[in-house]
Amino acid sequence: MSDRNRWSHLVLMMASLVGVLAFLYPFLIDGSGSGGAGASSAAALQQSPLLMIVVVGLSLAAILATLGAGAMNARMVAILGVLTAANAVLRAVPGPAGFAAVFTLPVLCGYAYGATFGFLLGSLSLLVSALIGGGIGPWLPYQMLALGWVGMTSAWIPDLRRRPRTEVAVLSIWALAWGFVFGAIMNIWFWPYIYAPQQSGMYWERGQGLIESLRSYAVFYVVTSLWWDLARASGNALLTGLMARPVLTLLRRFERRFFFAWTDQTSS
Amino acid sequence: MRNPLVWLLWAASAAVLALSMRNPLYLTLIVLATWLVYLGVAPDTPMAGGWRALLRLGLIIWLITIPFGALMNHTGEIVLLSLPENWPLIGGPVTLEAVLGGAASGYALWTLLFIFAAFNLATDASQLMRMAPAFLYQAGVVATIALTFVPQMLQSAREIREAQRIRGHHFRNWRDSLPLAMPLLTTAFEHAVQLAESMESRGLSGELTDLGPGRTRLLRGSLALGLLLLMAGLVLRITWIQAAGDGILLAGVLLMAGVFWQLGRHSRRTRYGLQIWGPGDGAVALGSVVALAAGVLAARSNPALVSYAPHVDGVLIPPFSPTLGLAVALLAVPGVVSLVQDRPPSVKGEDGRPVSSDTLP
Repeated sequence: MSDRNRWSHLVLMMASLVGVLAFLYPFLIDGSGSGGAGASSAAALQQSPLLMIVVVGLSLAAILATLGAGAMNARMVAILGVLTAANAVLRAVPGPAGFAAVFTLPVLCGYAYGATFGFLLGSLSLLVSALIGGGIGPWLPYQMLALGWVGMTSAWIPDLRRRPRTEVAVLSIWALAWGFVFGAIMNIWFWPYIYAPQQSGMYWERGQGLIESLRSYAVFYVVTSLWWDLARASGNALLTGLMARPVLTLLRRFERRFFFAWTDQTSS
Repeated sequence: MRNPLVWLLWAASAAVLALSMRNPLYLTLIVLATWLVYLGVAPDTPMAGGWRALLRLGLIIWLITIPFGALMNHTGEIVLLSLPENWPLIGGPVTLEAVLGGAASGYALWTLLFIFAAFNLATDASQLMRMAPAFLYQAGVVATIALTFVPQMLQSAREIREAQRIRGHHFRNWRDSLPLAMPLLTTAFEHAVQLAESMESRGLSGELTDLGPGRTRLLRGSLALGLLLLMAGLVLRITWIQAAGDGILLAGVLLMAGVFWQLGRHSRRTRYGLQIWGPGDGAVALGSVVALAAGVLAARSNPALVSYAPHVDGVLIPPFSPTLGLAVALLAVPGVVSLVQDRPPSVKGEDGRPVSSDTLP
């Protein structure tokens, strides 16, 4: 791994950590930690959406800016652009099937081409599809980060090309799991609007508020979003299972045509 | 058409206000202002129907959040009804305060949705892409390539579909989409190869900055440090003193902004066709900035004025300050300006047909 790739990978990991922290932030304000009464923790929770959007936006910008510092070449720019377009077109299929299609390519590309590529494909395809469909809003940084994570984490699956059957099965299960996790992550951006913490005097132990708010979140998720997510997750799994083998063959065939000149000339 | 920078400023101001306020009186002012803006932009665009549907969906979500908040929260004095104490989570009294708090929160969420409906209808993708800051240049190139390729890929999807139909393939359910998706992806890859080769032959490589190795290392280190500061600030804010966390967060934000600015300064690009700063743009920008500044100052000096939490402090009637209300109402400036200034007579020619700017001899 060249110096540049290592660097962009480091920024990717650090920014993802900041993002995870930002996503967890509304659950961690429980009134006991910030040393105040219920009123101050309620105020902190009411301000948290703004803070979270700023932090998530900055970490996303840090990831995208490291590309500008030279982590990409023309081939990578071209293939990312075209695959992003393909993904945005696949999303145009109406209904949950369209959203399932948005997951399939980042999972497969992250698995075949690595974490950085998967992340960029995921987050940029949501950006492009928001630009086309006019879906820009405060939810966009969250969506971009979350779908970027889908692609990024897919690179952590060990290479199973010796066992094609297992490979397809593992990738489908992976896509199924991400279908639910993505839904759960995406609800968090408006969670502070729905949940108001109780007064901290009610709790005997520190951290009780966290358990309470996580429990409420679980209930909210099961009641409102689980059924939609069920459709989406199974759509993901089916589509990934169907497309995994031919698409992976395609990706590996083009890997040789695309990444052959991908070594750092300064190091040799 | 207004300058997209002005729209961005307006949307950012309105969104920051809507995100930091829960007081329903100010939120109503924001909604009214946005409604004026919406009236000014909506008739021109075909996207309006989709957003109307989304806004209706937002109303339904609002109706869901009210009972949810009311059932989960049991603080407050005025008890409307009581559920058995032994029901998990929802057991206990249902109070008027909790219902009002839930309604105000859902209202804030819907306001946010409405603001961005107006923003999305007012701007278009290519205009926004041109405004991508210089340090995001690479990502901007990728997104622009994608935006350019989308119509091309829709076209080739149609062609592939037709070709498969001629071969006797029926597209009935999702299983049949594979013979469409695979040729589409293969074509996309072939396009990408061609594009990469033509980009390289025109001298476009990955390297767009002219930074020396020393400076590059410095900027990388600063970016990593900025992310670390953000992390530390968040952790401090949760576990210890909020003010200390805020200070560190601010330091991290400033450091990262400095790095982005430096990166942007070193990427050279040429612009064609500058955006015109129209006559009403100054007024809109000024109105947005004043409204934002007033809202932020008020939230800093007197948080009780903008927040609304009856289930915590028992105040049922939200406070209202006319000065702040007037400042928030300045968000309506783009709507007023477009209703006064931009309406059709200027768009139609003398014979009643629209005049287009590209009818040069």
